[in-house]
This record gives sequence, structure tokens and C-alpha cells, in this order.
Amino acid sequence: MSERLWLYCVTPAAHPPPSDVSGIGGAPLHAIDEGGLSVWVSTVARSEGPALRSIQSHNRVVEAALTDTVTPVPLRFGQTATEAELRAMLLADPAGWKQRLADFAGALEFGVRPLRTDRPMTAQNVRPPDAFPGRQFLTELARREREASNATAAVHDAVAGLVRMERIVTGTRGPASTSLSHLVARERVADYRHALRQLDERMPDLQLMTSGPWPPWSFAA
Amino acid sequence: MTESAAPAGMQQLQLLELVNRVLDRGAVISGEVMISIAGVDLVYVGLQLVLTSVETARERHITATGDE
Repeated sequence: MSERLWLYCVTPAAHPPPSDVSGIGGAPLHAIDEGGLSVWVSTVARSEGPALRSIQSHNRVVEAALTDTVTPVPLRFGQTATEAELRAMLLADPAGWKQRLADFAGALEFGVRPLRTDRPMTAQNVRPPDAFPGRQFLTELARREREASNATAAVHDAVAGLVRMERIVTGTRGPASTSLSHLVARERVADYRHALRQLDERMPDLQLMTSGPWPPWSFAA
Repeated sequence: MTESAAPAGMQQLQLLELVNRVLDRGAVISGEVMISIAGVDLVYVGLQLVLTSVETARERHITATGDE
């Protein structure tokens, strides 16, 4: 029976993992090369659930593949394959993987969430007057949605010339209703951060929650 | 609002951003992923917890101050 491999990320060929970084459960890393590509893997000793330590290990391995010139394609947590299966997967679309590596090269991901500092939008927090029970709630809801949309547009405009790719996820309710992810070339990172700081100062009612740098998780799917 | 709670709160939020990315983003190569949380925004859940705990701490502080 072939042993199963835990899959971390796709890199260009001849980009082996460093010896001082280990995988999930402390397992040693190695690379499987196929079709001009390389996948960082470790042998799966047992079934791994989403324990925080495993999640952090997975991310640490992907981060270890980041260099000034190589930005890996991160693989979602929880995928395993035999070596033969993995080679077949890579050969199914080598051009697609190479295109993504080219798109990501020399860049890092950053996250921005315009964070509302007032109370979450619930019926308890927006008490309508007795005379118009529904109208004020809906008006308030519309106002907040408009503000969230304005904040997203403001972030987008502030960094538009500085990012290589942008992904916006909207629709989640609550204090951070929108999530923006940006792929930023290393040489633009200082300007990108500066632009967000300036925006934060211009919008005192809205706190910007930033995160990163990350491997390009949000652009890999 | 979050002056005193910001460092711990932000640390938790960074961790949630990490979990959100590693579990819900990244390329799917094998067609079969062990864990799927698509459609669940963990950061939203986490933010609610953080903001609620900040709010609770503030209320307790106000109560404690009022009792003095």
C-alpha cells in the first residue's frame, strides 16, 4: 500500500524545503517534482484534524516556501494523496499551476477589514419607535449597508494603483461585514501600508483591521 | 473603545484570519478536502466574541468604579 502524503504548496521545480522546517506532527518535508513543478509534502502518520497546531504548522511550511522571487501556490488544509495520485494531478494542468506561480512571483497577500466600532446590527440594538416599528430598523440597516459599501470603495480606491490583484468578500453580517484581500508586489508593500494608514486617519469612524503579510491564500483557489 | 484590549484582541483576530485562510482558501488540488467551512466566516464569529468580551470587561469596569 502506498503511503499518503500531506500536501502543503506548489512551487517551481528545484525549490526544495529547508531542512530546519518540519511539517504537521513534526514530520520531515520533501518535494515531489513533476512537469516542471514541485509540491512540498510530508508523510501522513495518522489522520490530522483541524487542530490549531496543525493549522499553524501547515501555514508555517507554506511561509517557508516564500522567497524574494518565489511565491508558492498555497494548498488548502486537509488534502492528502499518494505520490502517484499527486503526479497525475500536477500533470493534469501544469500550465495552470505555472500561470499562478508567475502571477504570484515576488508578491505577498495582505488583508483589510473595515471594522465597525458600533454595536452589531440586531433588532435589540436598533429599537424602533412604537409608531413605525419596522421603518426605522430598515432605514438604519440601509444606512449601515451604505456605509460598509462606502468603506470598501474607499479602501479599494486608496490602494488601487498599488495592488496586483484584489479579492473582496461581502455579505457577512456583523462588525466586519466586508473582507478585502490584496496581492502586493514586495517593492510596493511600504507604499501600500502608507496608503492604508492615511486612509485610516481620514476615516475616524471606521477602524481598519489589517493583517499580513500572508502567502497568497485568497488568490490560489 | 479598544485601547486596553487592543493588543490581545488583535492577536486573536490575527489568529482567526490565519485559520480562515488555511481552512477556507488555498488551492484545492485533490478534489477532496477533509475540512470544509465554506460559507462560515470564522472572523465574524471571532469578532463577535472579542467585541463581546471587550464590552463585558468595560461594563464590569464601570460597575466596579460605580461601586467605589
